[in-house]
Amino acid sequence: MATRLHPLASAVTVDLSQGRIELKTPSLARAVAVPATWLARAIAALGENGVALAKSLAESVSRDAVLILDGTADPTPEEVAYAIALALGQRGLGTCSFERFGDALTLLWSLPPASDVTFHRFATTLVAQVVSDITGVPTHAAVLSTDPEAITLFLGSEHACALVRERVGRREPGPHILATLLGGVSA
Amino acid sequence: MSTDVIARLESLLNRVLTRRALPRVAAPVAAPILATSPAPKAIAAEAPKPAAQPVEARQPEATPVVVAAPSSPPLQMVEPAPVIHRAATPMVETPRAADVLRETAVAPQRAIDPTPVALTPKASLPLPTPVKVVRADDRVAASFAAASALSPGFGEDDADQLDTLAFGVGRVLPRSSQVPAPPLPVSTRDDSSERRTERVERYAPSLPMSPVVAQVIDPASKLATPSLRALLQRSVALRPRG
Repeated sequence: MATRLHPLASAVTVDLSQGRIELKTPSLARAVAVPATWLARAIAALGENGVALAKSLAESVSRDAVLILDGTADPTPEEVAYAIALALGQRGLGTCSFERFGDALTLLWSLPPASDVTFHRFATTLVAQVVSDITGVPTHAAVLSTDPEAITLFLGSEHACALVRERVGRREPGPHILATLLGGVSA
Repeated sequence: MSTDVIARLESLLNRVLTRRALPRVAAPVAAPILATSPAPKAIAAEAPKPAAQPVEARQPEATPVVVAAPSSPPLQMVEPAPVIHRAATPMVETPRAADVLRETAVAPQRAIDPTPVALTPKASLPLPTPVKVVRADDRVAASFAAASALSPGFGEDDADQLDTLAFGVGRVLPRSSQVPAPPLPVSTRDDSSERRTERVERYAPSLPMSPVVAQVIDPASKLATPSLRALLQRSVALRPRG
């Protein structure tokens, strides 16, 4: 089980006397802690080039998540959420969990480094690729709603994600968008 | 009684009185004093000698004293041994001889030992009363009995211990509260599985009913949670209306 092999308590080792932060992951031995606002500004400054950075980060996160799952066949949403949350948390990028609204599946990204509009493209690219790499299902993501401490992303087809982005641009609430998407089923 | 017997008794009594007149404390006291205090004696003997004698030469004399001191018995005041009056019993059997001996024995007896003795100038000697020997078990049992009567926290378990002690000393001690134990329920019914199940549910509801049930993994609970892949496929299959 992933939770037994990869406990959260020993996932990160901070050696302040040496100025080193080490992760207990084979893919990334050392980490560098930077302020979240600094990362958000860097991502915003990259613009469209931030997509390449998101894909690079997603590749590392998904690799760690697969190692955390430890070959679990057909993992449950809770198991995948734990693996992704641990991989994100080791990097100081927050945690995540899955939610269902009928047939619509959403991912709640808690405490992301940023939640403003300039971060949305980076977030959707990162989440979509991580989920696709873990499940093997080609997935797209769209920001459904945001608040200062969380981002809710819809996971679906490219066409449905385009509709969600359009409705969010019109400042429609997230539950209303899902109700429209699901034909009235919102829970 | 013949005069020979009286003469023998008189001689025997004289020997006893002569032995009592000797200083009885001299012999046992002298030995501990010599064994425990050789060091001051040695120092006193060395003092008049000239100081030119080396200290090393005196050490062999002092060393055995130091070593022997802890092993020797501590200096104590030796009390005189209790006087045993063996003549009490034959005096009862022979009143005449006792009357004769009493007149000669009372005066030196009071001079030696001021404590009251069995030989008292009475007309009739009392029979020797049996001495009540207080054993340690009696004292322990008595203390437990007192605790059972006074201490409020002295429970039934301790009372059982009282019974054990009483059994050890050969008598039954009084208990503070003689509450009879309730009679055990007499049941002739068979302990059926239904009653066993009722007992398990009543006293251990969290325990499994059988070890087989505890080891079987319900496959329905595993199937109840769909995989993320299945949920994601259903979400990807959503088509927006209109």
